[in-house]
Amino acid sequence: MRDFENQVVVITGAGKGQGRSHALAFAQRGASVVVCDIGEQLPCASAMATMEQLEETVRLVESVGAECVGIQADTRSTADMKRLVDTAIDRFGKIDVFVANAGIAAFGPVSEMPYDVWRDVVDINLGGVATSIRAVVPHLIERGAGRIVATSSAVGREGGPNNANYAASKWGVIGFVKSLAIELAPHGITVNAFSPMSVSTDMCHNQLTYGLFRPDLDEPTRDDVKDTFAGLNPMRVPWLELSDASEAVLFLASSSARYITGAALDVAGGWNAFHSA
Amino acid sequence: MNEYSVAGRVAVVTGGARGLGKSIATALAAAGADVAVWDGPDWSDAPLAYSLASKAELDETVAELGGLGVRAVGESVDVRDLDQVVQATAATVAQLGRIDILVCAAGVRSCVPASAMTDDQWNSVVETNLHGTYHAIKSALPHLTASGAGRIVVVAAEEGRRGAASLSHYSAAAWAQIGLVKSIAVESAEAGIAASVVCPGPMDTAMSRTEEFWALAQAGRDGVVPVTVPNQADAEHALRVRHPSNTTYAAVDAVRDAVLFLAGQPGLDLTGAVLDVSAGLASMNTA
Repeated sequence: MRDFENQVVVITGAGKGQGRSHALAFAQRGASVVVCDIGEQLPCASAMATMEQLEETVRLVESVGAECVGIQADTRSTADMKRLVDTAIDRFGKIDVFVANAGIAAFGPVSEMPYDVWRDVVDINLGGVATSIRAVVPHLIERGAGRIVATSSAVGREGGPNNANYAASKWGVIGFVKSLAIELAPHGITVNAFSPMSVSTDMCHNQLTYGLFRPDLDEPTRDDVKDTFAGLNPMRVPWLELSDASEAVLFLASSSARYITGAALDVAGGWNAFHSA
Repeated sequence: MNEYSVAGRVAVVTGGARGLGKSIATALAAAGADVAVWDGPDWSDAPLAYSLASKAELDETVAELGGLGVRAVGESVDVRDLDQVVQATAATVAQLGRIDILVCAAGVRSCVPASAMTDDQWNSVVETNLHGTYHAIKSALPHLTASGAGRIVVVAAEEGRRGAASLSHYSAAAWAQIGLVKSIAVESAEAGIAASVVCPGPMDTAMSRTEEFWALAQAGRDGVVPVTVPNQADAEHALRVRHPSNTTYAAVDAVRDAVLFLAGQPGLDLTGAVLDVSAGLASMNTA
């Protein structure tokens, strides 16, 4: 199926993980892709992508026969996001789909959380999502078409103990997305949030996250945390595979979803069935 | 019987110099709580269509509270600035001895579609409403823990329960405030702290007496009704038609009472709750 043929897709945070997976999936279905990543490690976060990894994303996308451009850019910077949008328009003439995916996680109870850990997570996960989307909106309005997908989280649907910074940022994404969906509906543009449970990436598989899930163990392993992760949802699945995430994002960006806007799509093994809405 | 009482407790009310915040501070004082009012920020170039509470208004409010027979202090503070909040917390504890109740009522609103929104507009709302709330909670938390029965009540907004045209920054901040408070509620229960949210609909306060807010109300829920002349009369008519309560505004007194109700809870049974006082708009919420 090459249902994204002749479409131009821009994805933030595509150096690895979900962003890279989305880039490859769009490419396999015919799209040209522009990707960015901050390519820099913030002290509080689990391993973030390097510029080499972003270049690898570009190579992987090209290897399936698609055109791809990758640039270093910080979603918190209005100038960087304008440059990202301009790069896509200069190279491919337009943007059809914008995926605001870049995000980080860092943990701790608020009482012990260093201030930067609150600030970095909220500024990237909420501020960066809004800044990047605001940069592309004028172009999509001009075209009278477009799809915007922002990555929220199952933690954007409930309180997140030891995760208040992340929870606040992901709740905020849903509020922003729903508001924008109303504003952009008359322009033929859909805006949706994607709310996954943990996805099998570096953000999930690292000692910091494992420690959060098994505080009783000194050096918990993947096997040690598996059941704890799985216990969060009634389907008892510990984490999504990347393809589960990309399928959902591509659905929201596809023609099948033309009347879906303002939604927060839960892909969470039924975790969401515990939530009010 | 509710044997817990706010009498004799120490409360902080951010944004308490006027409007809803003042009403809350006054009710807490009338109920016998000592009150610290944090307001009157030194922020002259705020990208807002109305002016913020002045230091003179802050002083006047504190004087009025003092007249109710409780200890009342005022701190000139901009909640966007963590250092100022940390200082205000220390000053409050130095003067009043402790903090038992934190009411985060400081918030700002502008009305602009995301396509036309400046960074300054986004930042002003998110820094004040979300980060300001976090700053206050973060710095008060040790004192609320020491209290043994700390109460946090955050005033978010009805727009934190849905999407809102021309309010994407305000809505995002309110949603995030709810996510923050629910997280705190889980984390801090062990310390005896209750944390909950009140989501008011539009109130008849300075924030709602602007042409841009009137235009927003006149444009309707979809934001597409053409508005030639923004004006209060048409805006208030639109609000009345839209509100299931058939009232123009959510009553300040009703919002105040919801805050007092949550602040005066004897236990943690209501922790993590979101109380909608929204002129009936809550009837359109999924939950």
